[in-house]
Amino acid sequence: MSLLTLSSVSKRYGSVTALDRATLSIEPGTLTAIVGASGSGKTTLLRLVAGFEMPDEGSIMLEDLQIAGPLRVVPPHRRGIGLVAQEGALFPHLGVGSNIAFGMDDKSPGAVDALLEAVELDPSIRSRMPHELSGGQQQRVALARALARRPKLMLLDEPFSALDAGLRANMREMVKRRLHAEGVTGILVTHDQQEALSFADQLAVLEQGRVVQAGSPRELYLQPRTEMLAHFLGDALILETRIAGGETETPLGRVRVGRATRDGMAKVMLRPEQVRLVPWSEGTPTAQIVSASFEGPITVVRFTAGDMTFTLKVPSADAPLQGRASIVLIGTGHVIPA
Amino acid sequence: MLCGRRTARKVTRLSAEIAPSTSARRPLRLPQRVGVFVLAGLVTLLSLIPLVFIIVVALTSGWDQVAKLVFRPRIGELLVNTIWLEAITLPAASVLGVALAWLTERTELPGARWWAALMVAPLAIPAFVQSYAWNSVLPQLHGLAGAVTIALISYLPFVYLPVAAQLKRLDPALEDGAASLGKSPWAIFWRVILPQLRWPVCAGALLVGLHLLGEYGLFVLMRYDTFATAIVDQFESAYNGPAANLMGGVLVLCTAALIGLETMLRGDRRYARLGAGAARSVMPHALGRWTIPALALLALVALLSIGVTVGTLVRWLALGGSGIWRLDLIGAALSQSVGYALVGGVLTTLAAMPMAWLTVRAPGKLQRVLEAGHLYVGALPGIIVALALVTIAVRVMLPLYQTAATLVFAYVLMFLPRALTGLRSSIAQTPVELERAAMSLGRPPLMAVMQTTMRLAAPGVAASVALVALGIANELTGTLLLAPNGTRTLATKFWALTSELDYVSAAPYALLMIVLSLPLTVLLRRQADRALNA
Repeated sequence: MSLLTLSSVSKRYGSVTALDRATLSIEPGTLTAIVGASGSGKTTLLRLVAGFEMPDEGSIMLEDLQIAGPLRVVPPHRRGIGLVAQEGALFPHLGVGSNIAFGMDDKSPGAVDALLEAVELDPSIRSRMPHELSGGQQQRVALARALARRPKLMLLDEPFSALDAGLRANMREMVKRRLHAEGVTGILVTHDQQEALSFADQLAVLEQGRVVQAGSPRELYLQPRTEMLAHFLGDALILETRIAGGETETPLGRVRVGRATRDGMAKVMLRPEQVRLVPWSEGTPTAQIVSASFEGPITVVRFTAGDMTFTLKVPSADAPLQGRASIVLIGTGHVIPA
Repeated sequence: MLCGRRTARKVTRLSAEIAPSTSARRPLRLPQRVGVFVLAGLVTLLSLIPLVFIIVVALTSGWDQVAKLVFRPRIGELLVNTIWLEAITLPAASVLGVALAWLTERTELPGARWWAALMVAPLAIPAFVQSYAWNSVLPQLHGLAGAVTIALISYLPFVYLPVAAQLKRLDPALEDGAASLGKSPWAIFWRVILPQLRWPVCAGALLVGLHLLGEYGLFVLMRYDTFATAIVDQFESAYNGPAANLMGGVLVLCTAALIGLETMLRGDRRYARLGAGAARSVMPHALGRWTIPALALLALVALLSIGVTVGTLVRWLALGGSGIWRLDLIGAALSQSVGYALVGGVLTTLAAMPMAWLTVRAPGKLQRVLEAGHLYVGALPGIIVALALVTIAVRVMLPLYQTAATLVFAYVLMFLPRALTGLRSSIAQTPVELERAAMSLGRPPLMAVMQTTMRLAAPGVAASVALVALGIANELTGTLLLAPNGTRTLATKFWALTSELDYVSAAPYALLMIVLSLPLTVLLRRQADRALNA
């Protein structure tokens, strides 16, 4: 049974539709990342699950209990769902220890210390006030505070966005470890697709209030359902071409697209890392180099192939700088259904 | 603004490059800065006059006289009266202020914005006008009950304003967090919201408490004796008497005790939002079946604090017809009020300027001491300032007794803190780089400050003049004691007419004072919102 199920959940603010029949299910023990541009409805989704907003339509089930929907609405404080907010939202009038103990039944110092250690903080920090902590420490305390209630589900609302890059990766790994260790199901809301891809077992992408696709990060990256999604998750080459017999001829050469694909015109996506430029040889697809600009580890190469121009990031060590090169394609192309 | 700032930086960098070859001009170094310190120090010395006066009175009176005049039943009575007044009014104002602010800021109350404006509106009605109106509607209401009622409805905005401002800026994520930690809305209110309101509640309650100590007109009309009324009585029967002066000393001790109590209660921390992210707008609480009781409470407060007075005024005005509009008398009082208000407003703002500038640009130990000297007068009851100036004028500089100059000087002292707080925040918003840029472009230091910082702070300066002027326009106690013979301001003329029980003729004066004060409500509301953001 899924831990959390959203069925056709809609939420409108006046004339703005924040969430449009969103449907999503989340398996216990997994980490799900919800990504989308700002205004796509991801924070609304999170707030609906937490119970700070009520859906206009649809229902939300936590295991077999309806927590929001036509049958009943469970108020936030009875849902048993943990929350770590963007900047931690530590209570400024309480010390670290009191913040962590705020929702605990067992308020013994030992229990607080154990939680501090779980989020890799020194227990001596217990007596400090929130404003005396760094941003990263505040987030760790916020996580410990939420973990203290042993929630089944933990909501993470862009908790890393205020941290700087190095600290962010560090925190992400710690949170991931912690949630796995405690067997807590997690939902992370983020606008950073890199963070989403590396954090989650499941990725759900929101676009204008709709869940356009949900699945494993690998599946979404390699087989996006829309062109927008293809671009959202990374650089993508979209080629309009004619498919015949599970293959297609593109300016970059011949690409397999899988046998099941119908013949006819289609959009085929290639990730740039599937395209390699190698020293030119007779009888291969040819790239005519237009320019190459050096950017340290990579060199941005502009080239023409057939009647099209492409821009590709190539490792600087073997980037062709001028003349022509042969194009080698790796893997299969993905036909975008829409 | 941003654009100006960027330009300034660029120019500063430029000047730094040239600096070694030309004479290095730093922002207001010695001796200009010393000059500003001297000016601020002078103002501090002048504002110490009332305190020094009280100390001198106490020291020179001799123990026998102190014992005779202070340790007597009358003083005990007044003390008990004062304690009752404070002990009932302050908790009531705090509870009511928090409840009303929470209702207008945090719930789905219908017409919340309108109610919020109504809750601030009583600021436009001087407390003695409220008393006058209630007196004519409900003459039975007097003594402690009357004093507390009128004080509550007149001074409630002093608590409501800062609490509402704080509620507006509380991070809603805190409430969400507490709910996700299993706390019910009621528990969240007690354990998360209320602790963060401690500072504004204490600040507001202190302001109410100080007004209770200093107010005169309200309590005379409610026939409730306080130190302020007793001092004026004493003074009128035998001015410059040691009895009034020593009573003033006891009143100053009461003030100090109140301030000490507030400092103890509010603690030393102001809770700020952690982090810098944009605050999400708050989800207002649904009131459900509490909507009607909530609306009833707000309507009742509005009715008592505005409705009764406005209704009474309308009634008196209707009764009086055109006969009470003695335009010659009213015009004279209005022009005197406006004249004193403007002159006082400008002078007070000028007097506060050096200190405001130093506080922002040259913070340090000396600056803090001087600033404390500026600010403390705000806590002193106006009657003490008046008492000090009368006594000094009579004993030391008789030609100054009962002159417009002395009266204006009293206004400057009374409203100095008001001007300073407004000026401070508007100067703090102008970048020091602009002063440096102006100097690098060849302006002498003082000119640079005037043309950049003071120019940009102009809206704040204007607001400060207005705030002080509006305060002066409704000032009664000091004006009664210090005004030259024949002075008739709106407040004193109103007071004279109510003393003769000519309530009908007093109505136009009350109306004019209220109309003049309406901008005050807007200004104070804006200042409360800003003060907490600074």
